[in-house]
Amino acid sequence: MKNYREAILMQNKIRYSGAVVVAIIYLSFIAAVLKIENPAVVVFVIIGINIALLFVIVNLGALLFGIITRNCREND
Amino acid sequence: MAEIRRFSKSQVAIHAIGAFSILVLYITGLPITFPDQIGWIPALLGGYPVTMLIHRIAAVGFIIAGVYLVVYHGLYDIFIGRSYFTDVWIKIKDIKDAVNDGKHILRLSSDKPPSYGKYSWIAKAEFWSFFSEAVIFLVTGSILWFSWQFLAFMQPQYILTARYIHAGFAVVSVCGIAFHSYMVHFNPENFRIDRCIFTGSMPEEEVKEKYPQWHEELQRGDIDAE
Repeated sequence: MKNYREAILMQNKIRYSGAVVVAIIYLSFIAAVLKIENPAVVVFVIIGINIALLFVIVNLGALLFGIITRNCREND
Repeated sequence: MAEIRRFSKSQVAIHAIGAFSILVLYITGLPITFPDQIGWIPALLGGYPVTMLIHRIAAVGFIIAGVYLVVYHGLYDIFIGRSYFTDVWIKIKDIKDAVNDGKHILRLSSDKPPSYGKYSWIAKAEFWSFFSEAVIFLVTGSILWFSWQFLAFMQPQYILTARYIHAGFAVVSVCGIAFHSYMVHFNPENFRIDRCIFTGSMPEEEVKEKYPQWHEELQRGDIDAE
């Protein structure tokens, strides 16, 4: 029962942390396009767009990993 | 455990080439739109001329993937039979599924969530949005790449407009990729990576659970797996 609860908590963590990352990316792009000049927003935009770029780089890494290991079985 | 073939080898190859190209296009293209935030990327790559060269090489890869998708699957659909385009074509059921899913998420309906076929309405919406963005990138990107040739019969403000459309849709497209990655890889069942698009196959149990309607069609022998 404890393991089941831990698994559910972990699932929610994955789901919500992913949603937060995607929300930061979306908001920072909106703020960048609107050219908001508030210093706090400017810092948020810099962080958000860098996260977006990091997200793209991580996706590229995951893609290459998937292509290279496509013939490997998980239990090998 | 039995595996069911979900994607053909050509689909796996198109995804690999297309995804690699578009991700490189983002890495080399976004710093041009946001030089104040991510100007360090061109500096790391050796300057803007090198960045633009990589951007154009990646664009060629993206065009090859797009042309191959349209020509191969288009011709297959027309002359041989059911193919990728037949499966991803939007049907009335997809609109009903979208409405029912919305009701389900908002807890307005106590019915069971919709049963998906091979491609859910979300997958189809993602495909057609990427497809339409690719067409826009192709047109505006060509105008920007061959701007001197286009200047012979096009006014400069149209080329500038093409530049803004290209950059604007790039931002929309990055948001789309973020959504796609969230739906596929941040899905707790597949976290950290969904291998289906690389191997082309999926365990039968997973098919049964996620795409019950497709599983039923396969069991009845109405369609082939790919």
